[in-house]
Amino acid sequence: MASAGSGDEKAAAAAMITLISSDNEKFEVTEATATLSQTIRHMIEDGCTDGGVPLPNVTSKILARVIEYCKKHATAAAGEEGSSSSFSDAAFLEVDRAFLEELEEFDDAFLEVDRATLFDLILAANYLDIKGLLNLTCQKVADSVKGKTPEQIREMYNIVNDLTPEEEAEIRRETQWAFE
Amino acid sequence: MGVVTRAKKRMLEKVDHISCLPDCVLGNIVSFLPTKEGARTQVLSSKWHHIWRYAPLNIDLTSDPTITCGEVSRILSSHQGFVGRRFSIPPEPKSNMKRMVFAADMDAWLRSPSLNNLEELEFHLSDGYWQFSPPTPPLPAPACRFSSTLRVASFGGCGFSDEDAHELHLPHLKQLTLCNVTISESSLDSLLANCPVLESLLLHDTNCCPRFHVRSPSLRSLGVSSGCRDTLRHLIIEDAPCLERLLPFVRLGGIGTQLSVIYAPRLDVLGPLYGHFPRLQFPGAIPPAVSMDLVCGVKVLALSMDPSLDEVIDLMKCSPRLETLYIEAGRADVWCHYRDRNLVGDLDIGLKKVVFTNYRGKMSHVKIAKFFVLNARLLESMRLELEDGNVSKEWIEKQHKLLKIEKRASMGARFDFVPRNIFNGSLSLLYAKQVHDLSITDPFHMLHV
Repeated sequence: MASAGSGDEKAAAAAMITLISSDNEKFEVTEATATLSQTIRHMIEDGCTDGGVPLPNVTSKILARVIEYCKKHATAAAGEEGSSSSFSDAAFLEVDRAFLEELEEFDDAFLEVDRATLFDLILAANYLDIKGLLNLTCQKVADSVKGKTPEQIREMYNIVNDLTPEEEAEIRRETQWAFE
Repeated sequence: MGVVTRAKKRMLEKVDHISCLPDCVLGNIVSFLPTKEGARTQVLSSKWHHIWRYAPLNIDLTSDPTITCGEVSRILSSHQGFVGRRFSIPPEPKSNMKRMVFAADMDAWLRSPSLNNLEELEFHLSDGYWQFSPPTPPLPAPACRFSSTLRVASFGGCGFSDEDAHELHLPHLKQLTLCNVTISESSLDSLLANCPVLESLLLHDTNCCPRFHVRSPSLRSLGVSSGCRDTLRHLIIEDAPCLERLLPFVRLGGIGTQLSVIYAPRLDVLGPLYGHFPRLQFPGAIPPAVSMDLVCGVKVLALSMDPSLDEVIDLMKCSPRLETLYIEAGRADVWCHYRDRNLVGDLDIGLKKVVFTNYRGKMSHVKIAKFFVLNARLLESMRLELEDGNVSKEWIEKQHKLLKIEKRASMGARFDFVPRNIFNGSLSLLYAKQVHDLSITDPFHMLHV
């Protein structure tokens, strides 16, 4: 996946973008894949992508995963655009629906990572402004604390409660409806 | 590379990674939690104290039904954010005064800056149900300010003027429910036309709309249910190339609602069909183009009627793709005089699952169940849901004999005699799930497990 891309390749595929991770690894991706990131989309629009896009906040390990996500979802976005013009084509729809199911399976499998990787993915999605990936990963964290008491959440995520008992009592009083 | 000692590893595991995320990300996470749980994150630590107050707002009384209207007002006035994720105030449970929502409250709430760019909106105004009620209030004007961001909407107890319906463009709306809504035929047509990516639509008890022409390039699921004020007389599926699921939950007496299907080539799931809605007519008795087309491609079909064996056989003949069939027999004894012709012929039945509800073991029920036992070669399961669950072992053994289960066409099939489920929940929630949840392939299954 990592390649600098020779001059010939660049001529053949003009719409390729090079992304450079914090550990200086280069990833060549199509513009359609890269522009799932609003941050990169704006850079392309401003013409600031010559010589590659440095992403000092994203390691190669995480960037590879993010690109994997974007590639899959860029294909989906292209499919949606195509479907509006030929919606009556039943065969196409069958493929379309199967692909959506596959996409859901992909997302589920994509989230099967350890907690540290999940948080790195969230940070990357936030920095690169990829709304789908950010919501997907945040939902995963939310699901992990759903139904738990504040005490259980603190325990689960090693959150140190630095509120004084008086402060905590005050918050509970202000938001009494939530604790009933 | 240094050796990670056990102590060091334990220390690493103890790091509070989550609180290192930026506030906006934590806010995003909090907004995915149910309303009360989201607000409770304020006591986690000083870092978390302010997160909820600025996070995208999620007020969802479906998941937190104990929140009162007064509390909704207080949340909206104290919240400091400028993005709304969800604002869901479903119909109040009966006689819960604290949950009555009037047009004036909703109007004020929807103006709150904490709901800017709202993605999901659901409300049901109580005005129409109040004693000595005034006419249906109009759609609260501030609801229209979310038109460019809404993905899910449920409007209840209000009226759409022709201007509302013509001017309300909902370019991202995927799910729409209209419940006890007053809307004219032409306004409903324009509303549908103004939702170019709509995937699922539920109409419950619409008023002033005698006919509904469904023309949508994107609609995948449609449910129509009736209530006391329902005036829908004719549902016409005119051009619905993506329609997969059609759920007419209409149980009307008298003339009933008519259903015409002109173009819905992808219809997979249909039902429940009552004896009189749509007039379930089989070849020979009708101009075939309508009802043949209706069931011929369907994979999952639910019938709420007492069919004769001939009707069942005719149904099998015209629906070769049928995999799952639900039959809910009437609970009262109906005098029926079927003269079965039993013209099975060389019928190839691809059916895999049959669920027969209110099975009583009487002759007409036995005939139908036995027909599937002896002819459905691919049958995987037959579930016979008994109206009276207190039957003896002997009764079940006798039924096994009557149904000729030892001579079954599909050796691997299982047969279960179980008590029927009694549904005590909210019908409107059930219908909404059956219509809008496109991740489930068989929306009837949830009532029969």
